[in-house]
Amino acid sequence: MNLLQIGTLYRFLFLILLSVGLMIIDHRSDNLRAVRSLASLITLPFYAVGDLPGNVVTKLRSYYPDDSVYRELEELRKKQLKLESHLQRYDALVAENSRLSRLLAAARRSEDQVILASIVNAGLEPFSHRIIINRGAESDVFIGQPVIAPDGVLGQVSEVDLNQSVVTLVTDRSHGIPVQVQRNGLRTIVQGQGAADEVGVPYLPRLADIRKGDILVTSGMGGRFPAGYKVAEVVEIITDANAAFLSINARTTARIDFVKQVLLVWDNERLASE
Amino acid sequence: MISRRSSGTGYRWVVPGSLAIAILLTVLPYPDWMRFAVPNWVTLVLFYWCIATPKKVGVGTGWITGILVDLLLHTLFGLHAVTKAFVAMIAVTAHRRLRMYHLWQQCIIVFIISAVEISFVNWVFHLTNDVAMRLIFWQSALTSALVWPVVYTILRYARQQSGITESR
Repeated sequence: MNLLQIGTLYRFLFLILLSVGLMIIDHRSDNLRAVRSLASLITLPFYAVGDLPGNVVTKLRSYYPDDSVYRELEELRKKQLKLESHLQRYDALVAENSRLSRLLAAARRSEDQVILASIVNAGLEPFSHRIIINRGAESDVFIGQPVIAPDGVLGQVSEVDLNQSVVTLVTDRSHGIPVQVQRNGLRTIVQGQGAADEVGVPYLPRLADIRKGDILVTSGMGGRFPAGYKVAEVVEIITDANAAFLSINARTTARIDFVKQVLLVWDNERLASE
Repeated sequence: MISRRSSGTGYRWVVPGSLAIAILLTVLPYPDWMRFAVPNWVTLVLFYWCIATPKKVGVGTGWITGILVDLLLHTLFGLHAVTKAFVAMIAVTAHRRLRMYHLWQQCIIVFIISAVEISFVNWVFHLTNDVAMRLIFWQSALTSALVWPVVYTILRYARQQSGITESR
């Protein structure tokens, strides 16, 4: 062993202790959150450059419109018409709903407040399913806030920096979300499995009334997600006579891979009660 | 060509520059199918500089680079820092032997080091986030070993161009 090797070994041992200490502090407490927030100044340029290729492609596409753009425009117009017609009915329904709930003397359900956020193109640690969005503490984003896409729930905010936050997706293994079957109101939980768009429904007994094609929507239990947002659609039910629970595979209704813009939701009912 | 004569100034740009590019390549958005197949760029670049210039680039550089990776990937503070310091430690202490090795022998070493690194990161994830271990997680050790000859050639060219000499 020469001097360089011995010095390296000692330094390495010291750094191990330092790192383990840091990891424990970071895991157990929020003390390092301020450091992370501050350090987002260093990390922002990296994300910005990483985001460039995708942005350049979109920009170029907008300069050189091809047939697909016109087709898309046509489709969007059709969709807009359809949505507008739906919306007319919706207004009537909201009015009717509030009338009925007044009759029942129940709390009126107000609309949720939302803001738009863009997904920052960045690959995080592949072991977990998380994304970065470009809204942070400055837009009053909070930890645990629901994040939805136009066609379903995406996940919830798990870390907030100044100008960006980290969203844990419903497909993450550590993520569970209380849902109910839209058809009959059967309540259960949707659990992430660490796969691209697959989620599991682990705790339903063998005789539960659930079918292929059932839509699972948030139930509002647990108070984190407002009720009524789509989460997943049942694609496969495997019945094993020996197992106590059904083995159910579901697909998220939000197409997580293709989403560019997301909505951050403030649940007004919850805000009012707090 | 001017920089070739002024030996030593290259450290200021080439080493941090290549490490920055490696970090950038790490946070680039990759398609879902190659989620676990992305080579461990930072480890490769760090490994090269530790072998070529063990007196200048060592565990300290590795640790700081790792902290940056932790910040960017939003992982626990110190998680990648300690693994990168480990990579640097191995490379610095064995740099003479490693330089003697054939490129394909170095590939094997890179594979083993990456696999150890992934195991540790994965284990910590398992403890903190309850992520189950799957064999597919070790895919990037394989791809890292496969791209090592390319990274090695590019970095050696960069080192020679900037006039950095291999230190003993």
